[in-house]
Amino acid sequence: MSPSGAPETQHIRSLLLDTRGPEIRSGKLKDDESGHHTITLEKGNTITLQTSAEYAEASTEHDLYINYAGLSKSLNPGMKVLLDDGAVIMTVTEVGDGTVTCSIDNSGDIRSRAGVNLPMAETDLPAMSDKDKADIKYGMTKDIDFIAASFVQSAEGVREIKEHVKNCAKELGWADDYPLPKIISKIESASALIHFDDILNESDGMFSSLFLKESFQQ
Amino acid sequence: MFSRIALSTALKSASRSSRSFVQPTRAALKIGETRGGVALSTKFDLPDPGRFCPIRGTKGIQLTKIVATIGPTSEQLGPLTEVCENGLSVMRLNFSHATTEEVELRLTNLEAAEVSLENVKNYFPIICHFNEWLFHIVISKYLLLYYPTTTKPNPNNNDCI
Repeated sequence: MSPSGAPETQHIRSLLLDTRGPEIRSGKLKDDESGHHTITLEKGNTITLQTSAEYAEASTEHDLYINYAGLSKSLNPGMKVLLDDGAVIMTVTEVGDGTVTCSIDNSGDIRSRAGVNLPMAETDLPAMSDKDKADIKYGMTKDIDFIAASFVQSAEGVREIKEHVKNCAKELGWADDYPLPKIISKIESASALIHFDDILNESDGMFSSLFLKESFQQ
Repeated sequence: MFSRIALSTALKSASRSSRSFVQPTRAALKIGETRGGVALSTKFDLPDPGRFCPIRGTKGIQLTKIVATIGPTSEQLGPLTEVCENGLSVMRLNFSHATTEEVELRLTNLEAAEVSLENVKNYFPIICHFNEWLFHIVISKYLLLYYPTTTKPNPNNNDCI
Protein backbone atom coordinates (compact mmCIF):
# COMPACT_ATOMS: atom_id res chain seq x y z
CA MET A 1 0.00 0.00 0.00
CA SER A 2 1.19 3.48 -0.81
CA PRO A 3 1.09 6.27 1.82
CA SER A 4 -2.40 7.31 0.69
CA GLY A 5 -3.60 3.76 1.20
CA ALA A 6 -4.18 3.33 -2.53
CA PRO A 7 -3.25 0.14 -4.37
CA GLU A 8 0.36 0.10 -5.58
CA THR A 9 -0.29 -1.08 -9.11
CA GLN A 10 -1.88 1.63 -11.17
CA HIS A 11 -2.48 1.02 -14.85
CA ILE A 12 -2.34 3.61 -17.60
CA ARG A 13 -5.34 2.04 -19.25
CA SER A 14 -8.59 1.91 -17.34
CA LEU A 15 -10.16 -1.18 -15.84
CA LEU A 16 -13.87 -1.91 -15.86
CA LEU A 17 -15.36 -4.51 -13.55
CA ASP A 18 -18.56 -5.93 -14.96
CA THR A 19 -20.54 -7.54 -12.14
CA ARG A 20 -22.61 -10.66 -12.55
CA GLY A 21 -25.56 -8.99 -10.86
CA PRO A 22 -28.43 -10.54 -8.93
CA GLU A 23 -29.37 -13.56 -10.94
CA ILE A 24 -32.20 -15.99 -11.39
CA ARG A 25 -31.36 -19.54 -12.44
CA SER A 26 -33.23 -22.66 -13.41
CA GLY A 27 -32.96 -25.81 -11.30
CA LYS A 28 -30.99 -29.00 -11.69
CA LEU A 29 -32.31 -31.32 -14.38
CA LYS A 30 -33.80 -34.66 -13.40
CA ASP A 31 -31.21 -37.49 -13.36
CA ASP A 32 -28.39 -35.08 -14.22
CA GLU A 33 -25.54 -36.65 -12.27
CA SER A 34 -22.73 -35.56 -14.60
CA GLY A 35 -23.83 -31.93 -14.90
CA HIS A 36 -23.69 -32.17 -18.72
CA HIS A 37 -27.21 -33.45 -19.23
CA THR A 38 -29.45 -31.26 -21.43
CA ILE A 39 -33.13 -31.13 -22.28
CA THR A 40 -34.49 -29.93 -25.60
CA LEU A 41 -37.24 -27.35 -25.51
CA GLU A 42 -39.26 -27.52 -28.74
CA LYS A 43 -40.81 -24.49 -30.39
CA GLY A 44 -44.59 -24.33 -29.88
CA ASN A 45 -44.60 -26.61 -26.81
CA THR A 46 -45.84 -25.47 -23.41
CA ILE A 47 -43.71 -25.51 -20.27
CA THR A 48 -44.57 -24.76 -16.65
CA LEU A 49 -42.10 -22.77 -14.57
CA GLN A 50 -42.20 -24.02 -10.97
CA THR A 51 -40.98 -22.29 -7.83
CA SER A 52 -41.71 -24.99 -5.22
CA ALA A 53 -38.68 -26.79 -3.81
CA GLU A 54 -39.85 -30.26 -4.89
CA TYR A 55 -38.79 -29.42 -8.48
CA ALA A 56 -35.43 -27.95 -7.47
CA GLU A 57 -33.51 -31.03 -8.60
CA ALA A 58 -36.10 -32.57 -10.87
CA SER A 59 -36.59 -30.20 -13.79
CA THR A 60 -37.88 -31.66 -17.05
CA GLU A 61 -38.97 -30.26 -20.40
CA HIS A 62 -42.50 -29.95 -18.93
CA ASP A 63 -41.73 -28.53 -15.46
CA LEU A 64 -38.74 -26.23 -15.03
CA TYR A 65 -37.72 -25.04 -11.58
CA ILE A 66 -36.81 -21.35 -11.23
CA ASN A 67 -35.03 -20.20 -8.04
CA TYR A 68 -36.98 -16.95 -7.66
CA ALA A 69 -39.97 -17.24 -5.34
CA GLY A 70 -41.58 -14.03 -6.60
CA LEU A 71 -41.69 -15.26 -10.21
CA SER A 72 -45.48 -15.50 -10.52
CA LYS A 73 -45.94 -12.04 -8.97
CA SER A 74 -43.47 -10.42 -11.37
CA LEU A 75 -44.81 -11.86 -14.61
CA ASN A 76 -47.97 -11.19 -16.58
CA PRO A 77 -49.24 -12.95 -19.70
CA GLY A 78 -47.44 -11.70 -22.82
CA MET A 79 -44.13 -11.06 -21.06
CA LYS A 80 -40.96 -12.78 -22.24
CA VAL A 81 -38.79 -15.19 -20.26
CA LEU A 82 -35.27 -15.85 -21.55
CA LEU A 83 -33.21 -18.90 -20.76
CA ASP A 84 -29.44 -19.14 -21.10
CA ASP A 85 -28.82 -15.55 -22.29
CA GLY A 86 -31.68 -15.68 -24.76
CA ALA A 87 -30.83 -19.08 -26.31
CA VAL A 88 -34.45 -20.05 -25.62
CA ILE A 89 -37.19 -17.41 -25.52
CA MET A 90 -40.60 -18.11 -24.01
CA THR A 91 -43.82 -16.12 -23.78
CA VAL A 92 -45.92 -16.19 -20.63
CA THR A 93 -49.44 -17.48 -21.34
CA GLU A 94 -50.83 -18.04 -17.86
CA VAL A 95 -49.82 -17.09 -14.32
CA GLY A 96 -50.92 -19.31 -11.43
CA ASP A 97 -50.09 -19.48 -7.73
CA GLY A 98 -46.33 -20.05 -7.73
CA THR A 99 -46.39 -21.39 -11.27
CA VAL A 100 -46.09 -19.70 -14.66
CA THR A 101 -47.08 -21.37 -17.92
CA CYS A 102 -45.17 -20.36 -21.03
CA SER A 103 -45.18 -21.22 -24.70
CA ILE A 104 -41.75 -21.78 -26.24
CA ASP A 105 -40.89 -19.36 -29.07
CA ASN A 106 -37.78 -21.13 -30.36
CA SER A 107 -36.18 -24.53 -29.94
CA GLY A 108 -32.99 -24.96 -27.95
CA ASP A 109 -31.08 -27.13 -25.46
CA ILE A 110 -30.95 -26.17 -21.79
CA ARG A 111 -28.52 -27.43 -19.15
CA SER A 112 -28.93 -27.51 -15.39
CA ARG A 113 -28.87 -24.11 -13.69
CA ALA A 114 -29.29 -22.03 -16.84
CA GLY A 115 -29.50 -18.26 -16.43
CA VAL A 116 -33.04 -16.83 -16.48
CA ASN A 117 -33.77 -13.29 -17.64
CA LEU A 118 -37.08 -11.45 -17.23
CA PRO A 119 -36.53 -8.32 -19.33
CA MET A 120 -40.05 -6.90 -19.03
CA ALA A 121 -40.67 -7.73 -15.38
CA GLU A 122 -40.14 -5.70 -12.25
CA THR A 123 -38.49 -7.91 -9.64
CA ASP A 124 -37.61 -7.35 -5.99
CA LEU A 125 -34.10 -8.78 -6.32
CA PRO A 126 -31.33 -7.03 -4.36
CA ALA A 127 -29.03 -4.60 -6.21
CA MET A 128 -25.99 -6.78 -5.51
CA SER A 129 -25.52 -10.44 -4.79
CA ASP A 130 -22.96 -11.58 -2.20
CA LYS A 131 -20.65 -12.49 -5.07
CA ASP A 132 -20.96 -8.96 -6.47
CA LYS A 133 -20.03 -7.46 -3.11
CA ALA A 134 -16.97 -9.68 -2.85
CA ASP A 135 -16.01 -8.99 -6.49
CA ILE A 136 -16.26 -5.21 -6.06
CA LYS A 137 -14.05 -5.30 -2.99
CA TYR A 138 -11.53 -7.53 -4.75
CA GLY A 139 -11.61 -5.23 -7.79
CA MET A 140 -10.92 -2.20 -5.62
CA THR A 141 -7.73 -3.84 -4.35
CA LYS A 142 -6.74 -4.01 -8.04
CA ASP A 143 -7.50 -0.31 -8.58
CA ILE A 144 -10.43 -0.66 -10.97
CA ASP A 145 -11.75 2.59 -12.45
CA PHE A 146 -15.32 1.65 -13.33
CA ILE A 147 -17.95 -0.72 -12.02
CA ALA A 148 -20.55 -1.81 -14.57
CA ALA A 149 -23.52 -2.69 -12.38
CA SER A 150 -25.61 -5.41 -14.01
CA PHE A 151 -29.40 -5.54 -13.84
CA VAL A 152 -29.80 -2.21 -12.08
CA GLN A 153 -33.50 -1.58 -11.55
CA SER A 154 -33.74 1.67 -9.61
CA ALA A 155 -31.76 4.63 -8.30
CA GLU A 156 -31.90 3.03 -4.85
CA GLY A 157 -29.88 0.12 -6.22
CA VAL A 158 -27.18 2.48 -7.50
CA ARG A 159 -27.05 4.22 -4.11
CA GLU A 160 -26.61 0.82 -2.43
CA ILE A 161 -23.65 0.03 -4.68
CA LYS A 162 -22.08 3.45 -4.02
CA GLU A 163 -22.47 2.92 -0.29
CA HIS A 164 -20.82 -0.50 -0.56
CA VAL A 165 -17.92 1.05 -2.52
CA LYS A 166 -17.45 3.70 0.20
CA ASN A 167 -17.47 1.04 2.91
CA CYS A 168 -14.91 -1.02 0.99
CA ALA A 169 -12.67 2.04 0.61
CA LYS A 170 -12.79 2.55 4.39
CA GLU A 171 -12.04 -1.10 5.07
CA LEU A 172 -9.11 -0.98 2.63
CA GLY A 173 -7.75 2.11 4.37
CA TRP A 174 -7.99 4.41 1.36
CA ALA A 175 -7.47 8.12 1.96
CA ASP A 176 -10.69 10.17 1.94
CA ASP A 177 -9.69 12.04 -1.21
CA TYR A 178 -8.67 8.94 -3.18
CA PRO A 179 -10.97 8.69 -6.22
CA LEU A 180 -13.51 5.89 -5.96
CA PRO A 181 -14.49 3.78 -8.97
CA LYS A 182 -17.24 5.29 -11.11
CA ILE A 183 -20.57 3.47 -11.33
CA ILE A 184 -21.91 2.64 -14.77
CA SER A 185 -25.47 1.30 -14.66
CA LYS A 186 -26.43 -1.34 -17.16
CA ILE A 187 -29.99 -0.89 -18.39
CA GLU A 188 -31.21 -4.41 -19.02
CA SER A 189 -34.85 -4.50 -17.97
CA ALA A 190 -38.12 -2.65 -18.44
CA SER A 191 -38.00 -1.59 -14.81
CA ALA A 192 -34.66 0.16 -15.40
CA LEU A 193 -36.15 1.95 -18.42
CA ILE A 194 -39.06 3.20 -16.31
CA HIS A 195 -36.62 4.61 -13.72
CA PHE A 196 -34.11 5.73 -16.34
CA ASP A 197 -33.88 9.40 -15.28
CA ASP A 198 -33.43 8.62 -11.58
CA ILE A 199 -30.77 6.01 -12.36
CA LEU A 200 -29.00 8.46 -14.66
CA ASN A 201 -28.91 11.08 -11.89
CA GLU A 202 -27.25 8.66 -9.50
CA SER A 203 -24.86 7.00 -11.95
CA ASP A 204 -21.65 8.20 -13.58
CA GLY A 205 -22.51 6.49 -16.87
CA MET A 206 -24.97 4.15 -18.54
CA PHE A 207 -24.77 1.00 -20.65
CA SER A 208 -27.71 -0.33 -22.59
CA SER A 209 -28.34 -3.92 -23.47
CA LEU A 210 -28.85 -4.64 -27.16
CA PHE A 211 -31.23 -7.39 -26.26
CA LEU A 212 -33.50 -4.89 -24.52
CA LYS A 213 -34.01 -3.11 -27.80
CA GLU A 214 -34.82 -6.38 -29.55
CA SER A 215 -37.26 -7.53 -26.89
CA PHE A 216 -39.10 -4.22 -26.99
CA GLN A 217 -39.30 -4.33 -30.74
CA GLN A 218 -40.94 -7.74 -30.39
CA MET B 1 -31.81 17.67 -59.60
CA PHE B 2 -32.85 15.85 -56.49
CA SER B 3 -30.84 18.21 -54.31
CA ARG B 4 -32.54 21.32 -55.78
CA ILE B 5 -36.00 19.90 -55.13
CA ALA B 6 -34.99 18.97 -51.60
CA LEU B 7 -33.52 22.43 -51.05
CA SER B 8 -36.66 24.13 -52.29
CA THR B 9 -38.83 21.92 -50.05
CA ALA B 10 -36.60 22.67 -47.07
CA LEU B 11 -36.79 26.41 -47.67
CA LYS B 12 -40.57 26.34 -48.07
CA SER B 13 -41.02 24.45 -44.84
CA ALA B 14 -38.64 26.91 -43.15
CA SER B 15 -40.73 29.87 -44.26
CA ARG B 16 -43.88 28.20 -42.97
CA SER B 17 -42.47 27.40 -39.57
CA SER B 18 -41.36 29.92 -37.01
CA ARG B 19 -37.93 28.31 -36.88
CA SER B 20 -35.36 30.36 -38.69
CA PHE B 21 -32.91 27.53 -39.16
CA VAL B 22 -33.32 24.35 -41.14
CA GLN B 23 -30.79 21.64 -40.55
CA PRO B 24 -29.14 21.15 -43.95
CA THR B 25 -28.60 17.60 -45.08
CA ARG B 26 -26.09 16.29 -47.55
CA ALA B 27 -28.85 15.81 -50.12
CA ALA B 28 -30.27 19.30 -49.63
CA LEU B 29 -27.20 21.46 -50.20
CA LYS B 30 -24.11 21.10 -52.30
CA ILE B 31 -20.82 22.92 -52.11
CA GLY B 32 -21.16 26.28 -53.87
CA GLU B 33 -24.96 26.43 -53.56
CA THR B 34 -26.50 29.22 -51.58
CA ARG B 35 -29.37 29.31 -49.16
CA GLY B 36 -31.13 32.64 -48.62
CA GLY B 37 -28.29 34.43 -50.44
CA VAL B 38 -25.68 33.04 -48.05
CA ALA B 39 -23.26 30.44 -49.28
CA LEU B 40 -23.09 27.28 -47.24
CA SER B 41 -19.93 27.20 -45.21
CA THR B 42 -18.01 24.09 -46.03
CA LYS B 43 -15.12 24.78 -43.67
CA PHE B 44 -15.02 24.92 -39.93
CA ASP B 45 -12.65 27.22 -38.13
CA LEU B 46 -12.20 24.79 -35.26
CA PRO B 47 -8.92 22.93 -35.49
CA ASP B 48 -9.13 19.18 -35.83
CA PRO B 49 -8.30 17.90 -32.32
CA GLY B 50 -7.11 14.65 -33.84
CA ARG B 51 -4.16 16.46 -35.37
CA PHE B 52 -2.71 17.63 -32.07
CA CYS B 53 0.41 15.95 -30.77
CA PRO B 54 0.83 13.05 -33.17
CA ILE B 55 2.02 10.06 -31.20
CA ARG B 56 3.49 6.68 -31.86
CA GLY B 57 3.30 6.77 -35.61
CA THR B 58 -0.47 7.14 -35.62
CA LYS B 59 -2.28 9.95 -37.37
CA GLY B 60 -3.18 11.72 -34.14
CA ILE B 61 -4.67 11.31 -30.72
CA GLN B 62 -7.20 8.52 -30.38
CA LEU B 63 -10.38 10.45 -29.70
CA THR B 64 -12.73 7.48 -29.50
CA LYS B 65 -12.19 5.28 -26.49
CA ILE B 66 -12.39 1.53 -26.92
CA VAL B 67 -13.72 -0.78 -24.23
CA ALA B 68 -12.53 -4.32 -24.90
CA THR B 69 -13.59 -7.41 -23.01
CA ILE B 70 -10.50 -9.47 -22.37
CA GLY B 71 -11.20 -13.18 -22.25
CA PRO B 72 -9.42 -16.49 -22.74
CA THR B 73 -8.41 -15.71 -26.34
CA SER B 74 -6.85 -12.32 -25.58
CA GLU B 75 -5.52 -12.64 -22.03
CA GLN B 76 -2.03 -13.89 -22.90
CA LEU B 77 0.74 -11.32 -23.09
CA GLY B 78 1.22 -11.47 -26.87
CA PRO B 79 -2.38 -10.87 -27.96
CA LEU B 80 -2.97 -8.44 -25.09
CA THR B 81 0.03 -6.33 -26.11
CA GLU B 82 -1.36 -6.17 -29.64
CA VAL B 83 -4.79 -5.18 -28.31
CA CYS B 84 -3.19 -2.39 -26.23
CA GLU B 85 -1.09 -1.26 -29.16
CA ASN B 86 -4.16 -1.02 -31.36
CA GLY B 87 -6.11 1.27 -29.09
CA LEU B 88 -7.54 -0.45 -26.02
CA SER B 89 -8.56 2.28 -23.56
CA VAL B 90 -10.60 0.30 -21.04
CA MET B 91 -10.16 -3.37 -20.17
CA ARG B 92 -13.52 -4.93 -19.32
CA LEU B 93 -13.36 -7.81 -16.88
CA ASN B 94 -16.54 -9.85 -16.99
CA PHE B 95 -17.07 -11.23 -13.50
CA SER B 96 -20.01 -13.32 -14.69
CA HIS B 97 -17.53 -15.86 -16.00
CA ALA B 98 -13.99 -14.94 -14.92
CA THR B 99 -12.29 -16.60 -11.97
CA THR B 100 -9.94 -14.71 -9.66
CA GLU B 101 -6.95 -16.48 -11.21
CA GLU B 102 -7.98 -15.36 -14.70
CA VAL B 103 -8.42 -11.77 -13.54
CA GLU B 104 -4.98 -11.82 -11.88
CA LEU B 105 -3.43 -13.13 -15.09
CA ARG B 106 -5.11 -10.43 -17.20
CA LEU B 107 -4.03 -7.64 -14.87
CA THR B 108 -0.45 -8.92 -14.68
CA ASN B 109 -0.28 -9.18 -18.45
CA LEU B 110 -1.83 -5.72 -18.90
CA GLU B 111 0.87 -4.26 -16.71
CA ALA B 112 3.58 -6.14 -18.62
CA ALA B 113 2.09 -5.11 -21.98
CA GLU B 114 2.00 -1.45 -20.91
CA VAL B 115 5.57 -1.55 -19.67
CA SER B 116 6.86 -3.20 -22.84
CA LEU B 117 4.94 -0.79 -25.08
CA GLU B 118 5.95 2.35 -23.19
CA ASN B 119 9.58 1.26 -22.84
CA VAL B 120 9.95 0.67 -26.54
CA LYS B 121 8.09 3.66 -27.86
CA ASN B 122 7.78 6.45 -25.40
CA TYR B 123 10.28 6.30 -22.61
CA PHE B 124 13.88 7.29 -22.08
CA PRO B 125 15.41 4.85 -19.67
CA ILE B 126 17.99 6.21 -17.25
CA ILE B 127 20.34 3.90 -15.40
CA CYS B 128 21.63 4.98 -12.00
CA HIS B 129 23.02 3.75 -8.69
CA PHE B 130 21.07 3.77 -5.51
CA ASN B 131 22.10 2.01 -2.34
CA GLU B 132 24.53 -0.25 -4.19
CA TRP B 133 21.86 -1.36 -6.63
CA LEU B 134 21.69 -0.41 -10.25
CA PHE B 135 18.29 0.87 -11.32
CA HIS B 136 16.55 1.57 -14.54
CA ILE B 137 14.46 4.67 -14.07
CA VAL B 138 11.79 5.15 -16.67
CA ILE B 139 10.02 8.45 -16.80
CA SER B 140 7.04 9.47 -18.83
CA LYS B 141 4.25 11.93 -18.39
CA TYR B 142 2.10 9.11 -17.07
CA LEU B 143 4.16 7.24 -14.57
CA LEU B 144 7.51 6.59 -13.01
CA LEU B 145 8.80 3.05 -13.04
CA TYR B 146 11.96 1.76 -11.51
CA TYR B 147 13.26 -1.73 -11.33
CA PRO B 148 16.64 -3.25 -10.49
CA THR B 149 18.77 -4.55 -13.34
CA THR B 150 20.82 -7.69 -13.16
CA THR B 151 24.03 -5.73 -13.82
CA LYS B 152 26.39 -5.33 -10.87
CA PRO B 153 27.04 -1.73 -9.87
CA ASN B 154 30.23 -0.19 -11.19
CA PRO B 155 32.17 1.32 -8.22
CA ASN B 156 33.89 3.84 -10.52
CA ASN B 157 30.67 5.30 -11.73
CA ASN B 158 28.63 7.14 -9.15
CA ASP B 159 26.66 9.32 -11.51
CA CYS B 160 23.54 8.59 -13.37
CA ILE B 161 24.10 7.84 -17.01
